[in-house]
Amino acid sequence: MFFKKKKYNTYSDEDLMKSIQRGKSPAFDELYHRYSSKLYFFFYKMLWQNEAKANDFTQELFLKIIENPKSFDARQRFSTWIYTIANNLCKNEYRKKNNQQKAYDQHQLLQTATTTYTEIDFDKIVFETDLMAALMQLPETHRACFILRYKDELAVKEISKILNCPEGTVKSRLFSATQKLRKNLKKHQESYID
Amino acid sequence: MKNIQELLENKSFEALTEQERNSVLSVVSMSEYKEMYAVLQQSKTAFNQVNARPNPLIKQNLNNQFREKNRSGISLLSWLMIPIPLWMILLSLGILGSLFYYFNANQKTPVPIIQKEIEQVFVYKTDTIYLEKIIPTPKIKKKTRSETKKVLPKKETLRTNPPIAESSIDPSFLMEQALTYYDSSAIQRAQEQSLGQKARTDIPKIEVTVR
Repeated sequence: MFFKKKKYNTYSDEDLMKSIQRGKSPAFDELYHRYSSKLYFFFYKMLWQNEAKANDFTQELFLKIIENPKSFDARQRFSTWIYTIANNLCKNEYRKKNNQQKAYDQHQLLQTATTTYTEIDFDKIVFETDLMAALMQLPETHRACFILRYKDELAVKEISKILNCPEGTVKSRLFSATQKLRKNLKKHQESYID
Repeated sequence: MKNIQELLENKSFEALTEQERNSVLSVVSMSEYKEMYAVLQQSKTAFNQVNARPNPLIKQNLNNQFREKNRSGISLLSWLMIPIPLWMILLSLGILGSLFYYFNANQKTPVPIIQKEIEQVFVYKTDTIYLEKIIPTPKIKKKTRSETKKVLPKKETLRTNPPIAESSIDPSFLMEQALTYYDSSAIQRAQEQSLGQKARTDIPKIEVTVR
């Protein structure tokens, strides 16, 4: 009666962060539920579809929230803040990774994408696989823009803040990414458009 | 560019207005637009179907970390970091002060030992000083009607004659003269000799007797 259970699922992300700052464990659970999959997918795609790295980075990111929740300024949007950290983590990882290894990974991915195209099946599942492979062929900046816009459904303005670039650049990258994907998924399009 | 990306996200080629079509066709062909539109729509659907989840152990680890962090925080720093309003501090100081005063007032205060100063007083054994003074009595003039004659008393009979003179002084005056006089100089002397003795109500009485 006196201790009415709070419904954290009705809270905004920013309010959840305020509760986390006060040490409310259920608020953290709710926030993890909302963002863990999105962030995991973001890391997975941005870090060469490496599952282990995606798990490590997801954990590292949420640990940052636990360790220093007051670094979040409630005046800004939580999604912008969390994706900015995620993007910075990826950038650091790119720096660590040497170019040779990166080139090898890219080559491997291209191989995977090509082999997939040989077994063309106009099924949605196959398209999904191809789309993921095609995404990996995009430059990192374009890929990040595309995922944040169409997977995480963030506004262009917000993406520009996360990636620290003008809105025009974001739109340009999105258009460029869409054109490249169209080229890579051309065989799918013929059936899909029909 | 700006317009095309927005149109790609929202409108198929058929849904475009004449003006929008012209704008689009100046950048890409109709087929390209249709393909790009299809890619975007398909991508959105594909992204929604993605069910990528991190390892469940991560959640467990994070929960442990969260509990650990908040437990240690409560015990040490968080108590010290609680902001306290100024009025609360002042109120608590006031309460403490009044309690302190209350308990101190109830305690028996040690009675200060007052030593009675004993004054040395020199007291005369006789507090009444008798001074003998000779006060000259006024001469009494006797009025006579006539010169007295030398009368030789007769041997046979001695008879008493009526008084031949009277005193001019009122007898009551004479009585008043016999009353006690106070000698002020004698009193002063006595006081000086008493050396700090407090003024006494029993001022030495000096009686003067007239003899």
